[in-house]
Amino acid sequence: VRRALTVAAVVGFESYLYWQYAAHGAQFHYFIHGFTGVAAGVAVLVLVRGGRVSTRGPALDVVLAAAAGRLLSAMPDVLFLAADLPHERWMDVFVAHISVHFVPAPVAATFTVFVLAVAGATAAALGRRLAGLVTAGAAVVLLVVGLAARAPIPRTLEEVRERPGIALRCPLLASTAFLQASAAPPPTFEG
Amino acid sequence: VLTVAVSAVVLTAWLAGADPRSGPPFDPLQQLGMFYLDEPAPLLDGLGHTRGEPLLLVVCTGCEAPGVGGRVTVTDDPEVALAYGRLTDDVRAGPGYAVIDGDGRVRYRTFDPNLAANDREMDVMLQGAR
Repeated sequence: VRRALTVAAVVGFESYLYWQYAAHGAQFHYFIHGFTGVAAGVAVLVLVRGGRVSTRGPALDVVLAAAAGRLLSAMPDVLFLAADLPHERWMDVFVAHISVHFVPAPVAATFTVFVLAVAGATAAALGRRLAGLVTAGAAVVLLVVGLAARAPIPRTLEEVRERPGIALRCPLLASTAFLQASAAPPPTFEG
Repeated sequence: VLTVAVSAVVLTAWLAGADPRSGPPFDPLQQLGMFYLDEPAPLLDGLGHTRGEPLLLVVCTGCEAPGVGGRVTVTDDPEVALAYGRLTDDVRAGPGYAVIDGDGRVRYRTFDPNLAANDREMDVMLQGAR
C-alpha cells in the first residue's frame, strides 16, 4: 500500500508540474529542471551516504531526496509565478537553474544525467554500493562538465543573432522569410 | 526503471509533437524569463516608447495586444523582427516579444509560440523592467 501511495503521489505531483509548465508552453524548462533536480537530489543522497540507501519498501529516502532536488530546481519558476520575480543569475544556487539552459544539448544532457543518477540509486537500493557510488558520481561529473562547457549568455542583440538558427542579417531575405512565415496561421488571443 | 521509462515516453511524445513552425523546442533563450540583455533598443523612435515607462514590444502577425499593465506595441514589421532577433534563417518570424525599459534599453527578447496564453508571463517581465 505504501508503495502504491508513493507512486500515486509522485505521478500526481509531476503531472501537476507538467500541466503548469505546459500551460505556458514551457515544457523545455520542465524537462531540463526536472531531470537536473531529481538527479541532483538522488545523486547527493547516494554519495553522501556512501551508497547506503533504503532497500525495503518504496525507498522513501530516495523519493524524498528526489522531491527535494526537484522542488529546489523549480524554485525560480515558482518565484516567477507566485512572486512575479523574473529570473536572475544568482538563481544558479537552485541546482544551476540558469546555467543549465546553456549546457550543450540541454535536454539530452540532462536526461543522461537523470538516467545515471536513477541507475545509481537503483544499484544502491539493490545493495550494490560500489556500482551505485560510481554511477551516481558519473551523473555529478557529467553535469559539472556540461556546466563547464555551457555557452555564454548573450548580452546584446548582435550576440543573439550570432546564435545558430537565429536571425538573418540581410534585410531583403529577412523580409521574404517574414512574409513566408506570415502565411502560416497566426496565433489567436482570447479575452 | 519505471521512472526512467515514463520520463522517456513523455519526453519523446513532447519532441514528436513539437510544432516545426516554432523551431527547435529547446532554444535556451526561449522564455528564459531573465533580463539578460542590456543595450540601447534599436529602432526606438518608431515603437511608441515613452521615456520613463517600459514598453512591451510584441512581434506577431494578426494578433491583438496582450492584456498587460503597461505600454504595448504590436508589430509585424520584418525590420523590427530582424532588429530584435526574432527572425530565424529557417523562416521563423516570431511570434515573440521584447521588453524595453524606461531608459530605452532592451532588456529581454524571446520567441514565444504560445503568446496567446502568456499574458501573465509578459506582464511579469514588463513590471520587472520598471
